[in-house]
Amino acid sequence: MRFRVILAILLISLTVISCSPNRNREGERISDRDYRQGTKGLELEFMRNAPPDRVYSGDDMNLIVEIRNLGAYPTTDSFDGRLEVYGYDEKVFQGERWNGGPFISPTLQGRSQFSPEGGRENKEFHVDKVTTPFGSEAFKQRIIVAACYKYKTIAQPLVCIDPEPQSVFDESKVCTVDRNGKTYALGSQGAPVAVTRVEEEISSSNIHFSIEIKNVGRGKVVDENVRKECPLGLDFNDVDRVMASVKLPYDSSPKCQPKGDYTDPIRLDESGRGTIFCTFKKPPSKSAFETVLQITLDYRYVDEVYKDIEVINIDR
Amino acid sequence: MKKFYLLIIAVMLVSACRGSGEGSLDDKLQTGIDGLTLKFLKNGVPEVIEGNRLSMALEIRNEGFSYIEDSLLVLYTEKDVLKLEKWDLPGRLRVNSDNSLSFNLRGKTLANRKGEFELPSFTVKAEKIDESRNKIESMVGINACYRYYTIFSESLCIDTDPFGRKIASKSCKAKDISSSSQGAPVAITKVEQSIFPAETPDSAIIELNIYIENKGKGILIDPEKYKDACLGKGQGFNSILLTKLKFSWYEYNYEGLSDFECSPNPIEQRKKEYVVRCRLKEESAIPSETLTFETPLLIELYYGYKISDSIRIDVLNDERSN
Repeated sequence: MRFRVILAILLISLTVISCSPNRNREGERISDRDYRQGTKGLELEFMRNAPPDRVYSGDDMNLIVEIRNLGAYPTTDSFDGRLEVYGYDEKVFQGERWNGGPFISPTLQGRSQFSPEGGRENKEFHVDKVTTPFGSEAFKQRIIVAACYKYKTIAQPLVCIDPEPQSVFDESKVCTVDRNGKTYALGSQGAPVAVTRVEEEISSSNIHFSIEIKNVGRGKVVDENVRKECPLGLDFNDVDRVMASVKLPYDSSPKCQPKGDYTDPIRLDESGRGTIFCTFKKPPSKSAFETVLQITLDYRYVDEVYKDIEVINIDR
Repeated sequence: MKKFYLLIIAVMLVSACRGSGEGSLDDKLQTGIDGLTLKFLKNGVPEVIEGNRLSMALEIRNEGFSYIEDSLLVLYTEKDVLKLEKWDLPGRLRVNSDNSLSFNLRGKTLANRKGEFELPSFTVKAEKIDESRNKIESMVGINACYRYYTIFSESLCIDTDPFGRKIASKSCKAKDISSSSQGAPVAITKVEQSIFPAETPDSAIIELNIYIENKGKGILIDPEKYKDACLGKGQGFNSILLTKLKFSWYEYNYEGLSDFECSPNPIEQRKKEYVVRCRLKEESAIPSETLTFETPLLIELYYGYKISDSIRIDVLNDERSN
């Protein structure tokens, strides 16, 4: 009898423990955390001494880059990105290559409840031989590592759909949009391009949203469709282009200006800001309600890290 | 206890000073405007009584960066007053004729930052002088003629995208290079660079203007006839040869295949300085897929150089000196 009681208590305890929400190191419940926050996508960092501060003629050299996905995309094994190394004289570093190729693993997922810190990967670049041309004593070389990767921003602001904003008699409205419209300020969405503001206006037959986006990261936004050439073959025609998709639950095909597709993307200005203006139909119902405005931005992003190293000729 | 603190302070001071002085690996060898230097080792004006002998020493030192090979040193005396009797030479020096020597000297190295030197000495015999005079002031002169190289080695930024069309960040910013000296009497003072679109699409041509000055105390002579200049046979030359220019995969050779066209070469003096322009040939244009990069630039100049020094020797009348 006592054994059964103990067994029952044990089972109940196990059930309670397994059903309680997971907590992270800080004690907060993981499911409570909003992973769609922050302005970073990838973060690149050279590992200590790889490359070293000084290299000597005749040596080989390794660069190890730690790549961390600190944004919120992707949540499946679908990461699409590559690394490039450049900035140096190709006569100085000979026989160079990425171990395992230049592509970043598709498994580099963003932050989520299953991966609270985001994915992490190390990539190694090997140089067979460092040379010092023409007997030069010592000179500097800057090594730049650039990551070019596809990324996505998902913003889901809660907006008020008030088909009859002028009707002042309905005091039980869930939400209202006044005559001058309504503005929703947004923070960041766990990506280097953020939806920063949404302005809503309602006309007699349509609902209009002006959506402002901004490059809030430190890198460059490039066209989503330039996978092969990115980043070394790109010129100024390929930058600051963002594709966008904007939907309401009852209308998934608004008329947008620009269209937000490949042929007519949002163009960011010198300050990194851009706007898309979308016009939706009014819903069949005349009652006001709150709903999610689904905004998805697609683009490629280029982040860089560099290190200056000194090449020393010891054969001199 | 006080002594202990003083000791610590002293150790800290010594450590702080180390590295900035001579012998630090960070010191550049290619600095200074001297090549071969020569001087008489003396204390005041040497005197010799007529009919007697006087021994004197010279210091010849290669204070520059290049190797001096088969240099010629010629000693001149007023033969009716002082007659060169003999040389007393260290092993590496060779007597060429009565009054001339040949020698080789290495320049500055990490192991010897002051350059190699030799101390040859010579003996002169004072001839009888006019009885009516107490003394005669006689000059002894020395000329040294040698071939030398100036080796300019600085980092050059090759900006293959001067109009900023590409989005890739640049690893360096193109700018003119200024320098004061390279461990040689002839110095490259400035290298200006310009980049132009080539006739071949998607490629660029680089042009370098190189400014050179004779900063040393000597004169330029023909490197092929440098010995003549010391023997009084030489004609004025006053030109410098650009023998090499190299960066990355591109190079210019005075004799042989080149990616550049450089003119004028030999480089003539223009006002105070010498200027040569080197332009990458069309067929060697830099392709546009090459991104901006920094690279060591090497420029080698070749010339002959002549330096001189002299000393006054007083020859005293034997009877009057008593």
